Amino acid sequence: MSEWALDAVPTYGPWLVALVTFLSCLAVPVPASILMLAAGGFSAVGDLVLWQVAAAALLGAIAGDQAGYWAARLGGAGLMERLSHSVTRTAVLTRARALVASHGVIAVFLTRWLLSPLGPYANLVTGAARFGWAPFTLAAAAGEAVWVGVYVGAGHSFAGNLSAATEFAGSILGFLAAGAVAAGLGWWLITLGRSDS
Amino acid sequence: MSLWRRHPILITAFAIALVLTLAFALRFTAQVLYWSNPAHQNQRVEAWMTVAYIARSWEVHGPDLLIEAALPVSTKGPRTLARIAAERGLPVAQIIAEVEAAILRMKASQP
Repeated sequence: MSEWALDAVPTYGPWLVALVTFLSCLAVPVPASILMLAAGGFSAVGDLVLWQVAAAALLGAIAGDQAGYWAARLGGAGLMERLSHSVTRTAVLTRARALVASHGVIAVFLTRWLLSPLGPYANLVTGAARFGWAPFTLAAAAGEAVWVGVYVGAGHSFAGNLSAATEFAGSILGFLAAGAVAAGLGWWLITLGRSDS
Repeated sequence: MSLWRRHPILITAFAIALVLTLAFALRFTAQVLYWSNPAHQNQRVEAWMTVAYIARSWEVHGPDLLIEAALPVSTKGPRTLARIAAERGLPVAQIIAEVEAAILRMKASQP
């Protein structure tokens, strides 16, 4: 699958990348991250254009998020009922629902890149719960920008070696996630320290 | 000290997050060091790669690699080795072998 898809990247370029990020936001198992890495690599050697690859990946992902959100919002309880028939899907839906209920926009933001397997389900949950469209869209687009930026960026800066680019993307995502948690907890501690004294 | 006594779990979580952040930063540094070694940089030639991509990976001049491997210059945008093979009616393994041989010859003639 990914061998065939990789071969199509230089030919279909941004269109293929947009299609793949769109589908991955609808929980279709496509190799979105590896294709973004490869497209970033091809853009570094002049086969593709970097901004086109990045814009296509971002627009595809944003459109995919909107599709999931609106399907659940318009399809409502009936759609969610049908989706819950699969046991594994019920499990991820439950996790996504708990996360969105407790953290709202932060959950939407983080499920784009840090907890990306939950992303498509967070879209459904927010849509079905009639979560505000504007905050959803802003948080989702910001999260997708991180996802696309890290993968296309790592592919671009480490063109010519897909395994290196994959490892780099992993480290950068881990660093960003752990750093964000540390900053958040640090801020919380500072606030507590002030109110305690 | 009072902050530690009042919020031990929070401070422990903060410390763990800090250590993880540092660990990822170190991992990143180690990866940069590892992959900046040219011997580790070269990626095995595969069917989905374009000539420009292979040239970057092996640090050889792209246009020269085309000539050395006797591949046609593309006028219709970038093409992968698989596509070149299909157009010429050859098995892709043969094209890969030709490109690999060309790289070895170019590397051997480099000072």
